[in-house]
Amino acid sequence: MFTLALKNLLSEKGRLVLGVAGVAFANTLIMFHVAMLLGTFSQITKHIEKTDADIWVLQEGLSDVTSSTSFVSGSNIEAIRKIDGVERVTGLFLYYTSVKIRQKVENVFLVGYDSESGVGGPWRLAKGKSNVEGDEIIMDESLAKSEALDVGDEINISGHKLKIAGLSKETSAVATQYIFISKESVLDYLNLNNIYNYLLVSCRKRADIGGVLEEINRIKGVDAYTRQKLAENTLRFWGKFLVPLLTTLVIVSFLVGTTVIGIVVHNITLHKQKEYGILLALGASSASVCAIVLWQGAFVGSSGFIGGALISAVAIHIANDTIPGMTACLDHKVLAISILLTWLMIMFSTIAPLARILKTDPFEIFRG
Amino acid sequence: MKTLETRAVTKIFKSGSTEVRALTDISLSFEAGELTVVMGPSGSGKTTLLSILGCVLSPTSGDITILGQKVNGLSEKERRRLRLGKIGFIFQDFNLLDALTVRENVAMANQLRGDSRAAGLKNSEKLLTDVGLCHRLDFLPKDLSQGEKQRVAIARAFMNDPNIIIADEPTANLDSRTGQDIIAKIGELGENKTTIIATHDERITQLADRVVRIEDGRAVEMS
Repeated sequence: MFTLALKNLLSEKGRLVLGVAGVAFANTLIMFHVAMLLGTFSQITKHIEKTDADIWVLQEGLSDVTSSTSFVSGSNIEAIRKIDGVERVTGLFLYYTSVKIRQKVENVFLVGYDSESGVGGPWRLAKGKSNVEGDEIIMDESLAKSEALDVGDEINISGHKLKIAGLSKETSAVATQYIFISKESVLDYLNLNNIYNYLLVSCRKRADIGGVLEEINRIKGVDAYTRQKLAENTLRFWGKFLVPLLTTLVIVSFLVGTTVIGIVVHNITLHKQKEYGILLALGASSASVCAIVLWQGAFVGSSGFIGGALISAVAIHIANDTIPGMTACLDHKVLAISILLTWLMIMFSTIAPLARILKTDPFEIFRG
Repeated sequence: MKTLETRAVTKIFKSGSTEVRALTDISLSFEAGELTVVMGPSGSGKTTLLSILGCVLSPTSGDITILGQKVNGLSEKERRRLRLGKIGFIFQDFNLLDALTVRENVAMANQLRGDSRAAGLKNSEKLLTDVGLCHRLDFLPKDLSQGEKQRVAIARAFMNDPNIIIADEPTANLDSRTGQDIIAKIGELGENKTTIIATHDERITQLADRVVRIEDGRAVEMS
């Protein structure tokens, strides 16, 4: 039956090419949106996950790093250090702000981290130094590229001249890039007196992290979370905005794909309606006829899927390379979701032509 | 041996409130090894009778018995199975599958029965040799003459070694010489089978064991 399905398709090369192209386009839409969704989600919490701290301490009442700006007094550092099992406590600045780079205003996540220990700093370097000193910064590679900046260049942030010491990779979330600077510089520029956004707590090996967390939460004015919990909370916050938007895009792509496959399979199938009637007149079972139609749908769908995956891979590579903050990622999850959606599209799109074919009256074949 | 029998078969087509009586009270029986020609003018009911005999159409009333099995009560699935295994069809306009080669068209009958493609292709070669098409095995139907297309249809009809061959106007689209060759081939291959041929062509009656004329939906035995 597969041979007949394949030969039916190949006998209509124009329709087949259009069909596969349509399915590939629909698949590209799906893959691109899913890749964007998953890429965005994986980046949102990357900073939290990559920071070498077991516990994050936030201002009381906050539970994620994006819904509101947290302010925590540095005076808590000593109190936390005294808790049994705590190895290190450092202050961290992490806030969303606008900076003027070469006359252009950019929204960035400014990270003031402990440059001595490196905790909270960049986790993957593309170029230059991995740590900053004095008036140095490490900037996200894509932001630097979009501003035609490189290591050694100087920029002016809030009236302060800063030198780019390094470029970091994977430091972009929700179309916003990170700029890393020492926490001392931030304290200096913002005239803050021992105030941070977060305190990062590293525990000793085999320390009871739950116990440490409990102790920190007893301190007035702060709420503490494990790294994983804070990542979950942050993801949940963004999910409220991003999931409905991107899910809508995926659903629209799915409907476009289903319609395209449906039109192709419908056209090819109904163009051969008489031949299916011949098979039914000869005694073919409904299952045999269904198998031919499904094979046709599967062939068009699978070819379109492969085409879509290739186009998506190229499109995502170009997008990630040229659009600052784009973090789409075509991985096995995206491919698995796309395969599943393609098969659903095939199933849905073959229902109408199948129903029509199976209603073919073999007597019509006799009548000619 | 009786292979096919109809008893008081009537077929009425309904379209809204209009009723058209195509066949009235047809009682016929067909033997193995017998070639029956069904004649009659256009619209007389020949195709309807052949469709009922081939289990493609159900009669409005009356009984059909094929190889001792009553067909009336069978489900569509059982009727299809019966058609596939016991009845071979030859159509006026050949009804070949355009996308398949000659041998694939013939092998399809085997494949529909559940045989493998390889077995079907192998079996088809012998039959295609018998109908004189061994040099056209990998041709597509569009590259064949009308007579060759009908030979392919004949080979397909005999592929599953059916007991009954039903041919509806098999020579209508052929010149007279090719038509006679085709009927001779059907007769030769269907020597031990029940063969029923509907035709307008009076010359075919010379090859028939018996002739049934359909007039106004009623059957008249001629010889």
